[in-house]
Amino acid sequence: MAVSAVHLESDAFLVCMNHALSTEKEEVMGLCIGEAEPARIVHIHSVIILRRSDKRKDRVEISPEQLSAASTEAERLADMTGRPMRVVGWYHSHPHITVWPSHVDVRTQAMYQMLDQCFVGLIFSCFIEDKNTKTGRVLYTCFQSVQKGSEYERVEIPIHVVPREAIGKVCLESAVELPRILCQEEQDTYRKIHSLAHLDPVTKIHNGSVFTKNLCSQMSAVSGPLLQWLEDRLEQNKQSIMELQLEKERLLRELAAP
Amino acid sequence: MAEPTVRVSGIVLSSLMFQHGNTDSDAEGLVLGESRVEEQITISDSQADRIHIQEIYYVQKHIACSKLNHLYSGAGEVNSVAVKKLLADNKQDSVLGWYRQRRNSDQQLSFRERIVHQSLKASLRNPHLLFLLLTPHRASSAESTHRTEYCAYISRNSVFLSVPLLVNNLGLQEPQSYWKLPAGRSSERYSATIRRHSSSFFSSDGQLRDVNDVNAMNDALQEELQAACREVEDSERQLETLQSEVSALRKRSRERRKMKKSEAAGRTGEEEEDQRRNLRLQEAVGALFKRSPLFLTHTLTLQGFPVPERTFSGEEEEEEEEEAVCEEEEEEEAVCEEETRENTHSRKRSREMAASSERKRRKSES
Repeated sequence: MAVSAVHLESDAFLVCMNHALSTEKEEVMGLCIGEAEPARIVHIHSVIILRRSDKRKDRVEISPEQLSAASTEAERLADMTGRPMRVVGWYHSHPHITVWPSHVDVRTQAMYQMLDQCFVGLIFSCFIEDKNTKTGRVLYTCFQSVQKGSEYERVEIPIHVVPREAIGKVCLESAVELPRILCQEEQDTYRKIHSLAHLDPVTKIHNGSVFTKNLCSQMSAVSGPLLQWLEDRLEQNKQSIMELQLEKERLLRELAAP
Repeated sequence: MAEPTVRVSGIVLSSLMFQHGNTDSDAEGLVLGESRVEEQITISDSQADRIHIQEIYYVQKHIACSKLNHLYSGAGEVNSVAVKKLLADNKQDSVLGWYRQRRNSDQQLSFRERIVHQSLKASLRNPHLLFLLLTPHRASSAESTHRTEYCAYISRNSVFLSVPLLVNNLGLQEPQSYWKLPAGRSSERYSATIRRHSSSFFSSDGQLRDVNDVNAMNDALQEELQAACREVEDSERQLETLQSEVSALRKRSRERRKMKKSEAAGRTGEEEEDQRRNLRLQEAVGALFKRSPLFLTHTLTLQGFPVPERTFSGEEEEEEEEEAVCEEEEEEEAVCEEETRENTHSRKRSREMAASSERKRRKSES
């Protein structure tokens, strides 16, 4: 086991959890950006939300193009932060199912570990409800793979959410990327359908209304609440800034006094 | 009977968990939003009209308390001033309830939480006040898996009922598929009617007007999101810088107060020690040099010269001398204290006193 623990910064956790909770109908996925320390601790600073080309159940795979684009993004972050950033892992969601990785997930993880033995996998299980107690539940786990004979087995990796009160620029950008990616997916699907030459006007009007309805769902369920949250966050920050300014002035006066 | 449901967006639920992840203690605050009552009438073969009332509470934001147990006293009484301050510009009507997040504990209201809830209900005059409880746990001993359970509670006739907390998401609506095949009609009149009305749906480039409009609306929304993101990012950096400056100033202030305190304590100790040393020195000197002329007082003129002794008869002189010696003995102690501070004067005085003593000695001999 190459990794002893994973430290996931709380703002990156926020983006992952929001992404996982965006839909209960399919699994979502993304990549983790960070650095691996000599003490075999993987530090995740931010995440990149990815589109899923194959939306079949339990077929969460990252294409080589996506990995390459993510590496480019990691290099950009490295330049921005002055730290050696790279792609250190992947995450995906398990809506309505157990948090444990499937055998496909374990094999996929093993494949990534061949390229980088410090690569880790995170799974967010959500939309679990206990019907008796009406209690909802979300779980997250971290794992790697180890070969046992001809099969691969899951290895548990301790994961800790590291406090970070201020949300980083990269995480904020990733958070607002979600509605853009959702819209792009829907536009691409609609464009493919609309370009079919043999469709009659009624079919086109129907498809147009399906597109309108889906985009309205995205605006209502994702973009709207996200914009509301950003506004609330800004208001809260302004309030905190005002209070801290007052305290700073008071402390400076106190220190200037003999 | 009304069935309540609480709905929350993914970002609000994630934000609650994010807030708790940044503290090592419990977290609490208020939840705001709006509520709606919907009537659903169902008719079945067995029943003519069945009215099904649904109460839906939409949690749109949360306001965190900076300090725990700040909104209420130890006895569970609500501090209305603190609640008002926390609400700031938000309307009291928009308060749906309050929340608490506590680690490694049961998904069950504590006695105190029940008392506080009833107290808040009365204070906010909201009989439908909600309480959201989030309880994170370590789900595996290896700390590789973590779990957060969440539920909403509402008090009805002094009984707390659990209410499902549902996350609004894209999967809630039934997906409608795109049609990939044409409708397939051969009627001429059908085709002509559709063709006649199609122009109101399609623009000149063959795109559907509604699709163009909703795309434009969505693009505008994305731009707003980007702008809001930039504003929040600026405020986060400003906040980070200020927090680090204020932390450094707080540290300096603490160290300064600590230093002043230890200096004051040090000075007091030194003074006391000096006094004790002086007393001991005085006792020692007094014991060793009781009759030494060095410690006798003497009257000086303004110019600093000793006042000459007056000429008396022998007995008077002897009496006066004895009186002077007694006085001088009594003043020895005072002189000892002054000696350390007035070294030059004492040296002068000692020479003069020696001269005076010599004169007295000669007189007594004669």
